[in-house]
Amino acid sequence: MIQLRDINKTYNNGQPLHVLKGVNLDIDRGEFVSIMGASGSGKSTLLNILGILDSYDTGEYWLDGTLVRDLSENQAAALRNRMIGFIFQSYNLIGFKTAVENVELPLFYQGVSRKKRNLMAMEYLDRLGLRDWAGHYPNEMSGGQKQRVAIARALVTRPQLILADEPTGALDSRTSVEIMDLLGELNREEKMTIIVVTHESGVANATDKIIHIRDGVIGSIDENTAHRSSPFSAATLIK
Amino acid sequence: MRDLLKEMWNSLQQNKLRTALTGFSVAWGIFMLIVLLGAGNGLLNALMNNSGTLAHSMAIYPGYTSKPYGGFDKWREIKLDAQDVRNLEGKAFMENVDEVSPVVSHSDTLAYGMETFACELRGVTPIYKEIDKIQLIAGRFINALDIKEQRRCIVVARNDAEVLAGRRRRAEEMLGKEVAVGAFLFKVVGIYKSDESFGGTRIYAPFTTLRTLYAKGKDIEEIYFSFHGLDTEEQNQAFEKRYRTVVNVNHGAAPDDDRTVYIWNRLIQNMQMGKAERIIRTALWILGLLTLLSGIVGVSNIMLITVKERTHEFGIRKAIGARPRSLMGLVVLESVAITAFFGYIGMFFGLVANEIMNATIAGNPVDMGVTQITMFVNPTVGLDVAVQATLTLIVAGTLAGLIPAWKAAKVKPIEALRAE
Repeated sequence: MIQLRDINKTYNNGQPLHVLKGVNLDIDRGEFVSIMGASGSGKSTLLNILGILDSYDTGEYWLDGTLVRDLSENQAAALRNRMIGFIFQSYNLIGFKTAVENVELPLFYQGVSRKKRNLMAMEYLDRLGLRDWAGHYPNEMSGGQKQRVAIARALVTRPQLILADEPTGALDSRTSVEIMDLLGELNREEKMTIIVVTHESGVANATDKIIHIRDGVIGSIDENTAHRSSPFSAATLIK
Repeated sequence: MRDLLKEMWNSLQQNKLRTALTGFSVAWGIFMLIVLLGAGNGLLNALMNNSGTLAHSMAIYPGYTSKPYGGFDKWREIKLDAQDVRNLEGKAFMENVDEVSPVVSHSDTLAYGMETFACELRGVTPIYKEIDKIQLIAGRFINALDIKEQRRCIVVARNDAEVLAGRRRRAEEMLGKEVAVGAFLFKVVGIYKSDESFGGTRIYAPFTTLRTLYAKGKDIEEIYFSFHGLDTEEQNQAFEKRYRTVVNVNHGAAPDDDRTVYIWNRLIQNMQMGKAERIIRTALWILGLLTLLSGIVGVSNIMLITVKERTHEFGIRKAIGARPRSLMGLVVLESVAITAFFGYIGMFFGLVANEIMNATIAGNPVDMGVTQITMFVNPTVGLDVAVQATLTLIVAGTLAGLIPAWKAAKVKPIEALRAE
């Protein structure tokens, strides 16, 4: 599904900052993976490159058999729209749109008709237990509800890859568990490839594979099918 | 489309005051454009009205020779005569000339009751009314029967008729009255509206009557005629040259002498006025558009701020698959909507202002002592201008939105998403 070959990325904001120093990574279809690392380790940059939100300097990124490189804005937009669902720490819902309108938005950019769009969006909201909240605006909802709307938005285009950037970063521990359970469920039932970026070991523990990134290179990759490496606990979730 | 409109509405709702202020400058711009064009139309219409002559007509006045010829020295006075009229009506010019009115004139004293004043009697034929666009307010003009029977009838100006009728009497009461012109009695058959642009008083009588009464013989003072089929300046000049030669031959002047007669070609004059009109109109459009420009810059500015404020939102949209073009469309559409909406308000008030001008100052003559001139006639704009202004607004709105839209399209999703 994903092959990264010697990816390098340098930011040139005054002082050149070499963030990714030759990342090699393979993620197969249907994997539920977390990328862990300290702040500044390059994990968010890696996720942005995976999500075609950012470009890389050298190396190769193969997404589902296509080389993602020097894409035009339109090609990148189409690829993001079709292949990838994003889940963000700060939800990134559009404030003046209701839950159902937010979920419809990716379909709108696919050119799906209004009626069908609404039907599909409602279906996903229903699955996430938010049918009654469809007409509410984001500021009328709790953090967990907002994140579930964001997940519904990520799922509505039936992408093959879900990229989640600190999906539980703004949630309390109980909701965090719920969200991670939800992602796990999606992975098992829909065979979706899910990549979660986090710095919380509790979140990482919910995934099947933990990729540690340190100073711009992949450190170690731990298989975690037993989910026993570092369970959610009061200690890890107090922020 | 409905989604786009809804999104636009949302965005406009969030910044009501700002939108209204920007909108005002656009409205003001288009208001000025419409008022300027309306006022310009008023002036131009007045100009056209004041030059009240038939476009396809010429007037011929006698002059002096400018070359010695046939034994005569130069500066010999030329007097038009019946032969010049016959030549004009003859075969050589038949193709273009419609109707000819020779004019003879006679100065005399006009008397009725206690009133007397000096006047200029002009003997004309019926076509003269069309050529000089004489507007009758009562009675009739000289007709063919008057010419044939050499009737003693006259058409007088309204202000003269008012003077003759006496105090607190209307001009129309003079119709059918016999007035004394020198030694003869003439019946008033018509009253025309005078713009007093000649200063003096002109009274029209049948050409044949004057010729006989005052023994003019074959002398003619001026020749007026209407024509057709001369559409370009070159054709007109060729025609004039041809007729000059005929006159010169008739009066024994050098055939190429161009000072023997003055030809006042109203068509050429109209063409030149048309050119002037186009220049004035263009100038007004430019002025109006420049005023509108400040409004457009305002809209552009607002859209830039809006784009800046919505950077985060645009970042989200891009992350979930919005193409740059769709974001550009959103911004441009919003810009066009603001411009068009407020532009229409401005246009509406501009049209109202024009109607107010039309109802108040339009049509009032300005007294310039010797003559009266109407400065303003129908200062309104037509449907064509409204359509042009609409197109201008749409183009202006698009232009105003273009740079901000380009900025919106260039939003980098990661940076935008970081911008919390």
